[in-house]
Amino acid sequence: MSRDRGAPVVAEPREVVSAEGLEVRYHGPQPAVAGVDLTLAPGGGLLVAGAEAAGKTSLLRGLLGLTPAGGRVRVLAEPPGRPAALRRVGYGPQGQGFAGGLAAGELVRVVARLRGASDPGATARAALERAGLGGAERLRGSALGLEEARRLSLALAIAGEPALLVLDDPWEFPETVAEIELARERGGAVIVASRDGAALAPFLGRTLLLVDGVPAG
Amino acid sequence: MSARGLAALVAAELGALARRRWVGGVVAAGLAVAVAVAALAASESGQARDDDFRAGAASLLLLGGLVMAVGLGSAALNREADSGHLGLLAAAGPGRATLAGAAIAARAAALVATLAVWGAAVQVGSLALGRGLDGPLAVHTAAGAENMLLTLLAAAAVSSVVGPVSSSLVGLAVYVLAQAVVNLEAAADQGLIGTSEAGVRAAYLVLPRLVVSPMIFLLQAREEAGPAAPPVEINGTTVFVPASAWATVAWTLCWCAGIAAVAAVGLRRRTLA
Repeated sequence: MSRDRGAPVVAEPREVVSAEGLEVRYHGPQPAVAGVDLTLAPGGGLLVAGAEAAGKTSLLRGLLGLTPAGGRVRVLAEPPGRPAALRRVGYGPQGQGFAGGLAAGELVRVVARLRGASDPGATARAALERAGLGGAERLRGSALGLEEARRLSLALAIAGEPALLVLDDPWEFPETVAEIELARERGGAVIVASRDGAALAPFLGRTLLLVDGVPAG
Repeated sequence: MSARGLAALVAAELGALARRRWVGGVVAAGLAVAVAVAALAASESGQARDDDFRAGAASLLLLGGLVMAVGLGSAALNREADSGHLGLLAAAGPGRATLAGAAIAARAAALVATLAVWGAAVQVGSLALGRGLDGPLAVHTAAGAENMLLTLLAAAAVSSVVGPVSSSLVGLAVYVLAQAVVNLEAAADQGLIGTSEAGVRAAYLVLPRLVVSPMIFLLQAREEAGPAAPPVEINGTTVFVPASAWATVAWTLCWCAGIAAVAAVGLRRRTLA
């Protein structure tokens, strides 16, 4: 397993993520997330904590443009959802149903190719190895247990050395901690959403606690 | 995004579709029906053999094709949008229209490939019966593929906003509508519509139309088409639905392209899990 700890993240903007008055609204009058201000510089880390349904995943989706977000939001100097920025974001989704019928290796390879990896196959194999899924390349997503699915989510996030790592409900594997540290050492930023991320908090530096979609305190 | 990225999306989607059990089951069942059609036709001779064989093959292509078209189209976007798969892919940079286009292109390719396999199987059956390759049946297979593509795309277009059952119903409704437009135009040509003729002509000009092959026209006219084309009657008078002109082939392709474009942009505002 080889890691290029010295590879710099090129030409990062001063703030990898900036949000003023971030709001995510689905249906109905009550926003899922409101009033979130945050900045994340290169090398920075942020734990988004909160109880179930506090708005953690909605916040991440709003930043990524997966759901419409209000407020002044920039990710890698672009508004949410812009392809040029997203290709430099490593997103590890929550849950275990995200494989879409693909094998673990296929899925990571496709995502690596979408992110512009020059050798998606090698990138995928390395990411799976680093996430502790080295032997599961050919396993279909539906055949993975929950722990394996969480490792696959980690592999998807780290494939291609992204400038911003976004982990939704990661399990606290040693590999998770190692990848958070590695990403920050390389100058990448990391956002982790977790209901109980106490074990990850020391590796992220800052914590944003959400209560009913609003920052606490 | 790059062409290689788009190709990777389509290839991955096709691979996932090929591994779905129901898809393999329907393809295999169609092949079994093709064998049965040839075996049943073998018990006849002369014109009856030809009619039985072609009616059976056309029924397979229609009914099996509808199952595939509706099954593939109705779950083109909704399930993967809810499961987190499309969100994961969208977060890697391709635009949503690209994602939707890739999903729909893969499904269209799977449908066409299935019909091609069944079409080849019935041609093998024709050879086994000593009939040689059946050109009119090959043309009918191509016409059926266009009709099924229309159905698939209609179901897929609404699958970005509603669930699989509703999408299936929309796909079937568009198929029925396109068939009705053709049947009513034929009835108008025979002077069977009366005061509603202007409305029928307008609908024919605007709405999608099913493509009717010369083979199925001849079978239907002799009431030998079976489930593939039952006789059409209006006020007790038989309606002869003629084979489509090239203009109809082109018009239906235009509708397919239009619906595909709607499907590709339909994902734009949807929340992705």
